[in-house]
Amino acid sequence: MIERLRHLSIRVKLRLMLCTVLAVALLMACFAFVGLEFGEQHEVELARNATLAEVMTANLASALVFQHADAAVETLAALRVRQDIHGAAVYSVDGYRLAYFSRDPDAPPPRKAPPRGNATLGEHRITVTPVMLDDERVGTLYLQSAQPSVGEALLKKALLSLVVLVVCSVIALMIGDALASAISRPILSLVETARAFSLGKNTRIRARKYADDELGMLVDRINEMLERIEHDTELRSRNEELRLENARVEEVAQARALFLANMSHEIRTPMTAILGYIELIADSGTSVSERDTYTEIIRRNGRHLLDLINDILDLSKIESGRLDVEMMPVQLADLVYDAAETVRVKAAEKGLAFSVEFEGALPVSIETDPTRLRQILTNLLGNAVKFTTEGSVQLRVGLSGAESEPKLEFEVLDTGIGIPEAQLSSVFDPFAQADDSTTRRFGGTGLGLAICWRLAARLGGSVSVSSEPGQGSSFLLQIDPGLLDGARLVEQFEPRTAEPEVDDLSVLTGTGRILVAEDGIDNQRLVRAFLERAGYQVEVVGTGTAAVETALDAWAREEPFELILMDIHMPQLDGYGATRRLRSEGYDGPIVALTARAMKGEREECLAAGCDDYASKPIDRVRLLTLAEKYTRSD
Amino acid sequence: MALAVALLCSGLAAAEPPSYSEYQVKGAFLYNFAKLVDWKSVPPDSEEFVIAILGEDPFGEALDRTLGGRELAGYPIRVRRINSLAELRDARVLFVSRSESDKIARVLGRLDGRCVLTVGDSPEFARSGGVIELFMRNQSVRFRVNMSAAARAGLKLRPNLLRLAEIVEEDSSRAAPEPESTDD
Repeated sequence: MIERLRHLSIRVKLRLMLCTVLAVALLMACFAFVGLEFGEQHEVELARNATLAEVMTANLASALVFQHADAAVETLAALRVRQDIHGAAVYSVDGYRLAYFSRDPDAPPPRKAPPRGNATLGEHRITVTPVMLDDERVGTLYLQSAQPSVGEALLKKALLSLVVLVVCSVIALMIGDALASAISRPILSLVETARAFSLGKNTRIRARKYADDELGMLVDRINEMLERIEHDTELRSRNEELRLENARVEEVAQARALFLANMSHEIRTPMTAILGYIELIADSGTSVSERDTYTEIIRRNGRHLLDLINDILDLSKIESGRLDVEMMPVQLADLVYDAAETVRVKAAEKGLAFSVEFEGALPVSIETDPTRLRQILTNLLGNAVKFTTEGSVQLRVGLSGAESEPKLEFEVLDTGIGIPEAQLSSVFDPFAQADDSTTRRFGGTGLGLAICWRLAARLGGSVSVSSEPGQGSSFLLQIDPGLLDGARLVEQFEPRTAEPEVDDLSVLTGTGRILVAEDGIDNQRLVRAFLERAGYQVEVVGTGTAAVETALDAWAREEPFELILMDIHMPQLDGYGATRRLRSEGYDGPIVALTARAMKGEREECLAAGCDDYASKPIDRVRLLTLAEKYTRSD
Repeated sequence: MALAVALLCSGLAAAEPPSYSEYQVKGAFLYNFAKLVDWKSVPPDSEEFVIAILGEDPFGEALDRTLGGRELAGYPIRVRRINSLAELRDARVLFVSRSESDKIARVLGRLDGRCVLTVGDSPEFARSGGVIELFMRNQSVRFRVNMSAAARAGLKLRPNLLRLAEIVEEDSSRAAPEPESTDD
């Protein structure tokens, strides 16, 4: 029972409590009430009978002394109105009945006077009192009254009490419910709050305070506790965040340190070769054939170094967010073939089958940054050719993705050495070639894929890789082709035949006078050598000011230079300033800028300053001579 | 005393009451009439409460025995038998015997204004100016009261006495006989 009580809700417990207390109180009150009432009634009854007797006595006394039975009967008859009086009689002083009255004719009062006092006859009370005339006893009065019915009275009272109990119970239950909800509502709300809090759904949640009582205090304390817990939790998560942040910063710092170490290594390696072989060439005992070999090694390492520096610059630009992409309509086929051409020769040299395949319907024109896309494709294809010793390299182009969000896919498949699974996840990290031996075997800066990965993201796409070591690798580039609505889709692209690159220096000859403004003596000499060997007349000046003077001088003598090669970085007046000044003087001859910055924007700035073209340093001989030929052609 | 009173009571209503003689009853009535009169207004001029019986004594010695030792209005009762009003003196109650029936008017006339409770059992006693007249009805002794006579005598009768009495008007001629009164 107690066990079961324990499981009841407070509401029910309160109800039970109230009802129990109420019932006990009412029952006790009821018993006390009835008992008291009974006693009182008894006394009242007696007193009433006594009064009655007294009142009647005066009349009865005279009737008795004068033996007037009729008068006595008449007097007694007055008792008829008293329902509780069942019978009465008067007896003469010697005990004989003078007159009587009885409701029950079969049970008249006794003929002889009973002894004085109170007695009980069946359910009736008998009161026998003397009848006095003045001080003299003249007879006896006998009264038979209904015993105040204890059972009936009790039953009546009990019934009344029961009604009161029921009514009070209902009221008490209503009050109890109100009380209970005053207690249980805040408790339930506390429970709900605690649950919500502990589930971590809402750490801002606080218990609602309903009143300023003990429960209200409890709510306050719990809210304080929640506050503290939340505070602690926040601190802990803040600490955790800080720890993670720290770790991340450390990781970045570490990566940066590693990157720098790698870069240093990567740069020093070709530098070592270049400087070393130059020493050997300078050696007096070096034969002509050895010198040719060494020169070739130096040139290869120099180019590698240049690639490396370009890559590093690209990567740092991307990393620092300064790499802009320039979206423009691009002929898909042209772009793909351009990229393919860069590796076609190399693949052929290694005896690899190389193919470009267009799959399905493809847009003729897409919207993207052609330079960056070409860079990615060239890189991926270059890698494929580089890491494949036999078999094939394939470039597949196709469309995928939902119609609303199409992706242009370029898949580069090779049958090369593949990438171990453990390293697949880090191939796009800077300097993350499978291992150092790879670099030694295949060369490369180790930055290409890192750049590709970042560029792809800038083009609204991604690069992913899958590979089977020993079987080959597959790099998948997906980019956003821009809006294709209304774009013309074609099934087949015309294969383009490669336009052979001009690299025969004997073709690139010319005549004419060229002014070279260049402050570096080595470069002056180099440029002069390149140009003079191709047949040009060269005049070199070391400053911008000198360049302006010389050019204007010649122009004034009506013997202008066919071309001015203007270095941008010069003391006093730089190339931009010199060009601007020449143009402001009305000079209209061709000016080609030479710049070492090789940054995006440089070209625009050159053109804005008034240059016709630009060439970046290190100066490529072919590029230089091509430009010279273009601007000195006397047509 | 209980015994004495017991003798006065008759068991008229009871089935087996002890029977008392007419004058035993009437004697007891004398005592009770005196008891139910307010004597306080009457200044005492005697050491005794005298009940006089004029004429032939119908009670006999039993009355003396019955009332002997009793008190009324604080004085011991004394029963005196007299033959003329001259002997009346300080008597408070005067019972006029039937032997004096023919002299009643005269007797009562002489008592006019005196503070005496006159009781008689002659017919027309009350109408003739007596205060209380005893008569028989259905074998019970009953009485009638002449209120004017009581007033003339300066007597105040208690209500519970009057309640049982038959009230009569005084016959101004004092000669007409009481038709319903009977003699036993």
